[in-house]
Amino acid sequence: MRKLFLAGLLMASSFAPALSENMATSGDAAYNAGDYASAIACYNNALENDGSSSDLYYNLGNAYYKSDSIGKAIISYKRALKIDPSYEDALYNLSFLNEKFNLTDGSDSSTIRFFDGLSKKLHPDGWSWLSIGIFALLLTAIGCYLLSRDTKLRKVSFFSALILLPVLAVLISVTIYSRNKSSRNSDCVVVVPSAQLKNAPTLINSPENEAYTVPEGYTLEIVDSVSNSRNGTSVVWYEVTIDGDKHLWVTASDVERI
Amino acid sequence: MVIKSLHKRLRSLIMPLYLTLGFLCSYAQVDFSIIPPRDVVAGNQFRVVYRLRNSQGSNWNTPQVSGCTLRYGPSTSTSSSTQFVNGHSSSTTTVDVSYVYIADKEGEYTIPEATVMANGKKLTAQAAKFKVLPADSSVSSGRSQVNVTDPASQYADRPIGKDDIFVRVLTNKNTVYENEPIEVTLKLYTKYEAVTSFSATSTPAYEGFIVEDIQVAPELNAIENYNGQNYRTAILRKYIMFPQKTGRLSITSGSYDVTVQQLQRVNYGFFYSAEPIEKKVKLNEYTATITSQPLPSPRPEGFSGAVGQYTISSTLQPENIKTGEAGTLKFVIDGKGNIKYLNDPEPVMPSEFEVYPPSHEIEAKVSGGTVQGKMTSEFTFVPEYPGKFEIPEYKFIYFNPAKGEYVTLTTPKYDLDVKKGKYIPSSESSSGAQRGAMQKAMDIRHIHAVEHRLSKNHTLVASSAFYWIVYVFMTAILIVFVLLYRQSARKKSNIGFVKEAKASKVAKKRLKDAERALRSSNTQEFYESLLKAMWGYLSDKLHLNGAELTRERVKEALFNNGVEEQTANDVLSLIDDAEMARYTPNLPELAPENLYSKAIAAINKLESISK
Repeated sequence: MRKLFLAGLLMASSFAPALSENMATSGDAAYNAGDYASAIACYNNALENDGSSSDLYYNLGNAYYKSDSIGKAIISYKRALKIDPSYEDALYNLSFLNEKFNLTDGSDSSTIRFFDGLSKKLHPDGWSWLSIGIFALLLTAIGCYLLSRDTKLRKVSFFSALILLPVLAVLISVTIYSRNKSSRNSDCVVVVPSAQLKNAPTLINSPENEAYTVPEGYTLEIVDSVSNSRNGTSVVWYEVTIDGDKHLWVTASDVERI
Repeated sequence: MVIKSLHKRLRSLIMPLYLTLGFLCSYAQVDFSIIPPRDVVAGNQFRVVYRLRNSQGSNWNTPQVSGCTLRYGPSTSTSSSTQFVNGHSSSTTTVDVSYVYIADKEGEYTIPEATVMANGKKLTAQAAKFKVLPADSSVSSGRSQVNVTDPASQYADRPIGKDDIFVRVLTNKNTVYENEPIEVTLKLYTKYEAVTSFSATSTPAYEGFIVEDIQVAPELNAIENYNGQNYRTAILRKYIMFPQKTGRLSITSGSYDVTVQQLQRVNYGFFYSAEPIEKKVKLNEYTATITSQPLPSPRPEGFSGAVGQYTISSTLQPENIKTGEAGTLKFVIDGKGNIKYLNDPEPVMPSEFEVYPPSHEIEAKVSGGTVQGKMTSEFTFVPEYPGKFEIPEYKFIYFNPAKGEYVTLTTPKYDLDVKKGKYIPSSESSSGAQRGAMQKAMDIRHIHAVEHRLSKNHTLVASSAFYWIVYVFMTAILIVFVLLYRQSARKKSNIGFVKEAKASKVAKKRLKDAERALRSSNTQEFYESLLKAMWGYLSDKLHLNGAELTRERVKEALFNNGVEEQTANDVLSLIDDAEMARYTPNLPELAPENLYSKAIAAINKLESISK
């Protein structure tokens, strides 16, 4: 029954591109019916053919979570947050998963946390427009100061400009931070039940080489990647950082880039 | 006679006798009773005793026992005893009148009421009943059997057979429901009354039961007819068992080592005597099987697991409760069955109440083949918020094995009106209820089933060059605007400002013309040049054009520019003088040199002020 439903949806999607917009909606219907496997298939189909949206990634994350793919769920939520870092429900579900499966996201410095917290309040475009607006206000104040012959107005605009300048600096910083966060693609998430982190990019199993085991859903930051070929098969390794300063290696097949 | 005394001695070995107990409390109380015979087997003699205590009776009226043959009697024996207890002496005299009968057939017989005259009063003894067991049925082998009542049959020349002494497991029911109590008795059957030692070599086994052990003191008592044979029996152990599994369950007696006494004929030359010798016997295990059937399906929802017969009651205290005060809800389950293993009731309490784990109390004892008692379960709760609350009725469902059906008992529902007390729910204690609500809500949030607007391109404003161009563009706009504004302002006020700036220069230049005319003694030209210079200077300085250049406007403009009245008047009088001198020359005080120096002074003064 479930497979039939899925097949029907896939067929319907191949009829016309206009219909394919409904793939995401069909996914929602399958999700609400509790058929999470079909929902995942529909959402992925929509992603492939029609593009993405934060809502779509969020729904896909939910469907993955419901079918116990924690790693994939976390990736989906993080992708949703890349599109819209202020997506409250995605933030909630992500923190819910992190807490439930005891996945810590690492601790940042207080400055970064300040910017991080701010960046979650508004879409990056919102920050962009806000900073442009504040800049326009600042320019107006400068203009008034320069041109007005009224001493009172000149005084007000002078002090306004003095206040607006640091505000603008913060806004532009948040905008840049939020933009960088959204466009960074150096993070990856473990998608296998547990990934072995090694000290060197080799498959040699020795006690010295096994440094860490990280659970599914754990986020790692990629620094570099190498491809080691041995016996005709090549294995791609990512150099990742953990706990800030440790540099370790993980096979690319164990993780998925966000 | 030897045998008889021997017999008594042996019996006392295994039977703790508390004979004196009965006499201790008897002062000089007169009573009359019938002592019925025990262990009567058909064909054997037995004795019926009428006992009168503390009196010498007369007029004995002891009707004969019907159905039995009187062999001899009456025979009377009298005994007396005296005791000193704590300095008090008490004496008892007993008169026993006995008759010896023979029972012909098995069955139940009655010894009729008997009366006696004692101390001038007529005493009546209650009728008593006794049983006569059938005689041992003979076995086809023809060999004479061991007879429990006939020591002569217990000689050592015969081996002790399996049928002569054994242990049985007796159950009061063979088919029971799960958890329904069964009474299990381990009983020793023996034809040899003299059992001198008895020890278990393996313990009784009962798998799949919860067992309630009943304390019994093993003691040989009644003769029982089993499989046509009479045995003396002893209850070894007694249990109440609750089957925990379904199916066929077995109860094994365990095996025992027993020593019994047989008699050995000893030839003393002149006569024979019998001496006891001990023989060891191993008793085999005896296994009883019972069938435990499952409780009927379907089990009703909320079935408590109780099997038996129960009643339940509940009480709530106090009726008027305030927040922060403790109340109790007490359930009492009374009845028989597996009461010891009942779980506490689980009433539904409002979540605004802080409910503590219930106290659990069981009083139960074994009686009549089952366990009877009551279980008390008391819930203490503290309401944290005022308002009207309801504790719904609690349904206690148990299974009645006698009827084979489930019975539902319902306790009443309670409506509570909680008044506000002094207590304010602390965040810590109220978090209990909130935590419950939190835990229920612990899941991811639901999907957004919105109209999906999908896009393959998610370029951010901040990542495009546009974002930075906007800044540059806006800055440029400001600069251009400022510049343009400045220019237009200059255009608007250019002429006046330039004139003003150049006013003194122009005036000085014109004054030079006047000076030249003065040197060439051309007074007319001098005055004209001087006036031109002054009017021109004022026009430039005060931004006044030709039409506005009147005496009043100049004065007004001078005042507006902050020129003192004295200076303004000086300037105006200089102009007046020059006008006058132009038409009326040769006035000595209006000498050209004089006017010239005045004009220079006035211009300098105005310049200094405007600066």
